[in-house]
Amino acid sequence: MAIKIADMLSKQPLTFIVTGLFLAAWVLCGRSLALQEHQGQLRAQIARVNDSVEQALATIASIQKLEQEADFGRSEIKRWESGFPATDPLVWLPPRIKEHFSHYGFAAPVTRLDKVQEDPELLHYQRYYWRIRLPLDERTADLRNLLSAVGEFEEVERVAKVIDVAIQPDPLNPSGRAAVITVATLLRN
Amino acid sequence: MGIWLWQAQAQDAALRAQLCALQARSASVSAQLQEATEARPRLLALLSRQKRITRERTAPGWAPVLRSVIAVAGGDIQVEDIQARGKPQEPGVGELRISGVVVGESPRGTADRFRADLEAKLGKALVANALLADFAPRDDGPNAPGKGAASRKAAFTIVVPVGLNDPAAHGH
Repeated sequence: MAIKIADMLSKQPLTFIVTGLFLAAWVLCGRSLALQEHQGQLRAQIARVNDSVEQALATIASIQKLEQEADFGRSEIKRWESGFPATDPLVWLPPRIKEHFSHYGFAAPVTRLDKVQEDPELLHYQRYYWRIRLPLDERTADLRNLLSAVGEFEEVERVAKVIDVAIQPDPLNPSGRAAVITVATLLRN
Repeated sequence: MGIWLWQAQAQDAALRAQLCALQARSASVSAQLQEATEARPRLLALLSRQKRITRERTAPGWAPVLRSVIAVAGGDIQVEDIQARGKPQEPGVGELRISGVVVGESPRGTADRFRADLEAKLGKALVANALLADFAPRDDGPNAPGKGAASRKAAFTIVVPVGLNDPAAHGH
């Protein structure tokens, strides 16, 4: 075979060179095409990985935003709660209620804790229900005064929410009447 | 052609390097993503809890409604009885019942005006029209001997259905 090629080279060198060049070009073209195909695959893979990284980054950013919102909410709740003593509300709320209603002429408001409710969705918090009894006398019989006092109560005592108001016979004074106000407060344990 | 091939090989090598770097980044981002994804349900629960606490604390109770009554009740209206309650059978709805005496030349007109003014003042807080449920001239009112038109009296009861957004009220 080697002798045949040497013989051909000596007899038809141009043909041999042209054939050689053609073969070389053919091999290079084939290699080049293979490379191009491989590059196409690499580019597709890069695009896929890039997309998944972008998606993951977007998801991470959205969760980081949630984290920021939670931090803000936490600080807002803390700020709001800093306005109230951290001790038992039985100790500090009734005197504050008494003080508020005294300003409106209700001399002897009686506040008692009606019930305390746990809320399974709000761990560490309890909902307290208070019953405030305001005996009505000649001076306080005008219920405008009561309406003002109760209307302002939620403004002054931001922790309190008036749940209901009723005028009832006063159990301690059969001839008299009393306003009974139910108030709810949501407080941390 | 050799140069062309050499360039293609260089480009191929660059793409491989880019892919390798990207895969390394993807691995690092995946770890962060897993951590963040695990935290997500806890954060959502925390946010929902925070929203509920804030909503419950900021949603007004009866106070704004009672302030509206004061704002529209003129000097010719005397409020004698108030019952403000949530309706247990209709969560989110409350009923204010105001009874009293109206004094003046036209007690019926005054009571109607009071009801209409109250409706206007309460606006969106109303879930239905306020109702003048009861109206009755008093004995010492229009027909009482010796009484002038200016001192006519009548007893009235107005019922006002309002919306209450307080979750605490619903559970009570």
